[in-house]
Amino acid sequence: MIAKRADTESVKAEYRVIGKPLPRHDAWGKVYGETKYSNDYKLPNMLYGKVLRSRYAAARLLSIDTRDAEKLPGVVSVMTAKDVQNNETVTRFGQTHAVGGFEGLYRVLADKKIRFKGEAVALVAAERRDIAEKAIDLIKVEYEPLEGVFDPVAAMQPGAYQVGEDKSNVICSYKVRKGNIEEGFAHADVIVENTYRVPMVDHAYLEPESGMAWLDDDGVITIRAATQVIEHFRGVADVLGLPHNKVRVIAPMVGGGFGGKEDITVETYLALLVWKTGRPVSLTYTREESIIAHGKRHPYIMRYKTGATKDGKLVAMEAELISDAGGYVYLSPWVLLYSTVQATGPYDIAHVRVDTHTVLTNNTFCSANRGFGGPQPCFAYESQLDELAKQLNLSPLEIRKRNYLHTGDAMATGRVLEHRVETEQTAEKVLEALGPPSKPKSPPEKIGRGVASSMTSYGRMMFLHDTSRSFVSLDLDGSVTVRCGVQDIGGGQASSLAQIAAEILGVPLSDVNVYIGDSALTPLAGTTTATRQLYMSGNATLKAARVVRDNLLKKAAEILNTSPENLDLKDREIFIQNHRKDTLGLKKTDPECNVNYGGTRKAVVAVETCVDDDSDRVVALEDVVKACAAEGMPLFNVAQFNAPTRELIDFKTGQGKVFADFTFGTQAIEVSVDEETGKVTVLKIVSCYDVGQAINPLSAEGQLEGGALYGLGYGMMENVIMEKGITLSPTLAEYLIPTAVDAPDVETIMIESGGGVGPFGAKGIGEPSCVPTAPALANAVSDALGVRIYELPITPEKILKALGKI
Amino acid sequence: MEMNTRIISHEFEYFAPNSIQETLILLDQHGSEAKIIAGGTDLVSQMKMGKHTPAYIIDIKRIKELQYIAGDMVLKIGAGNNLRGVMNFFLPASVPYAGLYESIRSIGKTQVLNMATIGGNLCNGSPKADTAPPLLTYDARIKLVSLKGERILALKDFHSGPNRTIMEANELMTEIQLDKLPKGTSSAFEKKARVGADISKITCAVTVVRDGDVCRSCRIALGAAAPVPMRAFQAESMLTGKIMNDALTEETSQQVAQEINPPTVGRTHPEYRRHLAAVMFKDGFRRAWQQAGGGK
Repeated sequence: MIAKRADTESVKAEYRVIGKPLPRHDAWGKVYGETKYSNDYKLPNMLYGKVLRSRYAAARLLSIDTRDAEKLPGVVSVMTAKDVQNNETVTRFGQTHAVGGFEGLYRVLADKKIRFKGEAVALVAAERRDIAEKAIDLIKVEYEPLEGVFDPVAAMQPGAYQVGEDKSNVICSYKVRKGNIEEGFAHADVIVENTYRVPMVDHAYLEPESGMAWLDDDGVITIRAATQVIEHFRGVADVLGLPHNKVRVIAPMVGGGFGGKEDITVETYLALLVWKTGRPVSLTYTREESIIAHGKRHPYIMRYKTGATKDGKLVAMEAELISDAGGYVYLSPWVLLYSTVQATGPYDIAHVRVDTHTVLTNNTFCSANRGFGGPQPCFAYESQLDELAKQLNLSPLEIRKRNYLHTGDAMATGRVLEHRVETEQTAEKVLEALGPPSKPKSPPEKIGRGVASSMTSYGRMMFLHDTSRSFVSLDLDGSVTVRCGVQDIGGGQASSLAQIAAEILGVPLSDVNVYIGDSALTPLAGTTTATRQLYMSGNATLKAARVVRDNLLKKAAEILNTSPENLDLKDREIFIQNHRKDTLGLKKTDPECNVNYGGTRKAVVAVETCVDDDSDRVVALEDVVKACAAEGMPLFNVAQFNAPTRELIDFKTGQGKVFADFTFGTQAIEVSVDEETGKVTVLKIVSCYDVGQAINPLSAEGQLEGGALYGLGYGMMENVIMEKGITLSPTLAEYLIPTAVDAPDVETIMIESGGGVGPFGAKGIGEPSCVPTAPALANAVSDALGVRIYELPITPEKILKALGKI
Repeated sequence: MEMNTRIISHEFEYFAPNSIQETLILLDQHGSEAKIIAGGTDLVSQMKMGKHTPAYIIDIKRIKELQYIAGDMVLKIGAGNNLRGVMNFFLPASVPYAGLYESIRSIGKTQVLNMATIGGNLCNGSPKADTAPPLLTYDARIKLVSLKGERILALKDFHSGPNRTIMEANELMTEIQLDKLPKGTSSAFEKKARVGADISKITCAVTVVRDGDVCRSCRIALGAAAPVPMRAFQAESMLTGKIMNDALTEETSQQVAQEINPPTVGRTHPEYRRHLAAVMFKDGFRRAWQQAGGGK
């Protein structure tokens, strides 16, 4: 489906590479299957690592006997907690700026108390994978099973089983207070109150957690692992008691993350085994390990009470959110803070009271997952809005239009939205694109339509004082190198940086080479999380490229005997503006479709030979580069982009500014529901976002389509089913995600307001694109059937129950 | 915990016989410690999970003697045919056997259809086996062979419990036999799964013999509705020789729902399966009835 781009302003036409649907520089390698996964890398003499995991969700660890495993021929090393120099660390947040509070204990290998089933207990390195597997079976672990607690509400009660060593299972609670909630409800003509539940879900990336590590010639432990955060090298070094510069992390170009590779996965285990054995080690989780033992999206229980006047104006919202953090803290407090800030959605409400809690249980731990606390409350507040609309006899669009926040309005947290807010436009566009309703095929089939909007932050929380760095240089032949520590395991971040550098330096995209994801050799660019890389590293690359460009133009101005302001840079030429050769009637590549950059160089040469009389107005990039080099004028720059910062919000009222900006969007879904079987067929999804500026519309469209499917899985089928801490859906036969067969037609529409804080006014789209899909689906199903499903995923069985058929 | 480790960590001896006779000799020697592998789409993942740890693997994929489909009054299908081959044989969906065609097509994944065999689908013993319900409605027979001789029995007597069959350790399934279906016969297959390409939640096959408005006979079978693939005999008897109308279909569908024996443990509520069984019978019957065209 070709994306529609709405509202393209005339000024956009001036960009040459930005905003063009250019195939990503990494596309062919992935299409041909040549791009290497972490698990593809091998070195001579390499060992295979394996993790022994706890059999219980709650237990005391009494003893571990590794002797039989160590005796097995082919086993090189067996490690337990006692072999780890600093086994207990504290999860910290922030990179340049230490932020206090909510620090959670984290153990590399289990010790004392087991907190969830699948917790790592011991590590094995062996000559062959099957030997490692056997060795795991030979390790004898003595447990004393404990009662455990598996329901977050029960875990909050006084006297509940304590998951960890702390005094309470409640990790933290937040509040938002605005106006006077009682007064708000007193003004309401209609009040709806419901409890919503959303399940634990997995990321289900292409490659499970995987890596290979070795001790390099320089004595540095070098880890190549699919990660969203190469800067975990510090944490790994701390565990081993090594200086930070003795651990290096390199991220490959594929594997998929979606938040699941934000926390450390295999890196520490690999480093421990490499340090102990001195040999290269490869370690890849099985899909079951990935589902059972790695971080998930938090299940929430959400009670929402929403009041509106009879003309559809929201006047009061009271919400209580409880999130199940599982066995360890990880990123739960931050995910919850995102939910708290976004609990009211993109709506203006006079009186607000939000209380949120995240609680330890003996379930699989939860942490980051695409949307980071956004999708859960969106399901609740958007369902509530449709329930109000129904009672008030308003259309779903109408009630939303009467309540959307606009540019300059203040959120419930008091934060004024100073950048562009185009939510209303996105809502109008999705409904327009959905077209006239489909006709049901036969009697048990009912057609329904639903819409949902969201606002989702991009960029990290401002009190973290986020930074990113990027290096841009021009070589003597005019080719461009970008070095940036961005992790790109599928999102397309690296390609966007190449487009930015190409735009600023006036070269075709094929002339830019990008080095990414190496903690030792690329300038550190922070995490590939929080939809922040285009915003942060895009701005850093833009900044660096502009310094190089300024130097070039300065030199070119000397050559052309003019001032730099008069110059422009395009297609490897620097020329006096409005005096470009093509204005003299010589054909050049059409700027609107310069995908075929391959032949441009030849064309330039040909053109140059016949425009001798224009040489006082145009100079080749290559000649300027050589002139700069001869005079020692630097044609490289390392720039750091510092995000705007704020101090912590007021935790008693939730008032303050947490995020630099938000991305606003709406999705609409049409479904056909079979009332006899409960089967839902999604006929169409339309997704519209204000993306600010699409750096590469193909990539942005891919994010929007992928996000819609990710959200659809959440709405229809995805569910990590747990019973007393045991995962009942540990394989992809039980944990279902949409396949190609289930993927409906997704139409994407991009509004380009230019109002974002990213490069060229771009906004982030990676996470926002998956947030409103599930509530749009829920609203569509409710529209079709007249009954609402309050719990995700919406399965045929739940539908038949709601219809009273079973 | 059943963990798919992605490797088969135990050692086994591997045989690839070229004939039925060689296979029978191997089975005679190693039967109780051996497993037959055909496509391996079920067995290999079960081995990776440690559910089976056979000392011997006997691979029958290469045995051409098991790969035929032939016959007139009795259609004989070699057990070693892959599912894609069987599906294509019944293409374009030949009306009497449309149910079998649809059941294989519902599996969806080309890779699986190319590897998995029709014999393997039955011998795996799963109550969810997609080909079992349509074959049951055709009153299919199966041929089991050992060095001591051969026996032919009705498919309905083959499954003895969840993932169990009455096959002896020294036996090999070589053939599935289908009697030629009378004029006016048609069949249909209905499947409910959670996503597009998925293991069945419940399946239903219906074969009708239609003569104008009269249902000469109707056979109904369901998968994943009981510990074994099952026929709904009482429901069938309600239709024999009857002039069809909507009320009768409805009444029969309620009998189908009553007759199944869904598992009471697990994540799917038994009432949900009963409800689906009724709906699927009605959908399947309606389609088969229309395809049969009334013999006019």
